[in-house]
Amino acid sequence: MIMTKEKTSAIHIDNKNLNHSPMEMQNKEIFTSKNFNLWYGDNHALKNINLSFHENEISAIIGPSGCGKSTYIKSLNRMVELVPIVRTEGEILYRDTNILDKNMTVEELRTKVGMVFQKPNPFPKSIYDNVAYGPRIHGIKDKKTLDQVVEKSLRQAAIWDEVKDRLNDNAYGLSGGQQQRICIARTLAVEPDIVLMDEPTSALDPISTIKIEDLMQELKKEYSIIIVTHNMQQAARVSDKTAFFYQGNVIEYNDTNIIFENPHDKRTEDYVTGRFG
Amino acid sequence: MSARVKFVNDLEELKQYIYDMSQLLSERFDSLVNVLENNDRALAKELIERDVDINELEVKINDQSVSLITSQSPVASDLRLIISCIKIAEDLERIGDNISNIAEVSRRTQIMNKQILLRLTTMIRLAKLMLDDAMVAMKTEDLSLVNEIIERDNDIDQIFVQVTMSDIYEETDAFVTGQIQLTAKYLERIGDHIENIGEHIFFTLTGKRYK
Repeated sequence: MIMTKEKTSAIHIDNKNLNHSPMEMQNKEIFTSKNFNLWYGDNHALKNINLSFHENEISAIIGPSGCGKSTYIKSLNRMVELVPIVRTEGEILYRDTNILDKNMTVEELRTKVGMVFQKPNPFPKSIYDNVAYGPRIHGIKDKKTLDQVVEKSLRQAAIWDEVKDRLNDNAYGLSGGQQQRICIARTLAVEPDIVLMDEPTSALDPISTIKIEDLMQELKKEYSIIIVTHNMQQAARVSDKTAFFYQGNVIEYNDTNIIFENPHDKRTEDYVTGRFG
Repeated sequence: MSARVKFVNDLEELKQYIYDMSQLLSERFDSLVNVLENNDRALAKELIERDVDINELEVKINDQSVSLITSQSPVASDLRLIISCIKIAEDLERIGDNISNIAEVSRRTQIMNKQILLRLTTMIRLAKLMLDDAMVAMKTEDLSLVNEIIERDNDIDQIFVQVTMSDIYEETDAFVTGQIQLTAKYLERIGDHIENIGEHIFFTLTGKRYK
């Protein structure tokens, strides 16, 4: 492999300095981690994470298994707290509010921060009820309003035309790709600010994957998206910025084209070119 | 590192095709000096006929590159290397064409003027050294050598200007004058192609365009 001999400019993140990136023309910050640390018992899983995500952008998190990327994304909606031995330090600011602060309820947080998972996980309910589930919890009872929310969400998730004639069918009867878009619609129905996606297409076929990726490009006009993916080509295709995690550290966070064309850190280069043993 | 062994080997093979192509051209520069100095028309004919070897290697490099891009989804330095190999191969192929063109000139006319002959053969020798060094720079990833090679095209350009602009060579035959100027122009183009190769290597090594 030919390695550049000019890799001196330090985009490499030392986890101390927030203004680490040369990225210009930033959109408004939506999520900012400041010296965020996380332990599973004695295992220091995330080390001094300093990262900022921005409005109307798709940010990808890549890294080998066990690097902490899923732990990190689950920290952003505090799902990680479901693990009893978890301990955290530092801050994660969602629009200037520290989500780790005890005053912030997870219900409030997860209304703003939706999540889509690796395996489509619709409820064993009708397509309509799946999407209407969140709004109903938030107290919307009016049938007409619910109908509007369901249609809007399904349209946003690019699946309305495929299911509009069978909204009362069980969501389990849909294909995997359709189920995943129903889950995205369900997430959008509560009008979140940010959508977290943890390997959203790894269980899908290539056509469904492309549909979800196209959908992400549409969604970023209204939402911010943070996606964890093992598929580096996917990160290169869909994201504006990419963070490379390794052994609990953020090694490099930069514009996606830089990460995949000319990364500044040799470890990033070795990972994206597949040289990690 | 042990990962992607086949891919790494395929990239090495791709580079080897470039080195092979350059080696063939390097030998042809030597032959070309012989052709000009000794008016060896048989050798000129052979040079023209053997241009096909160069063309075949270019096709091989292009095919291998397309195959690697399709099958391996290369990124970062790997992708830069493959793209550069495609472009270097094109420049090498054009150098081969220009060598053939000069051989064609030699079959049409004999350049007797010693001063002019010396300058033309000097241009050939400078080009050969530039190309040989470019391959060394590619093998050893020597960025300072790359920069030097790119600068050295100026030397060839200066001799080109001497040959085409100077009135010290009193060549009375208009046809021969034309053929001399053509030869000088072909060599000047060869220098440009090697400069391009230097710039491609610079891009491969740094990810930046040479300015």
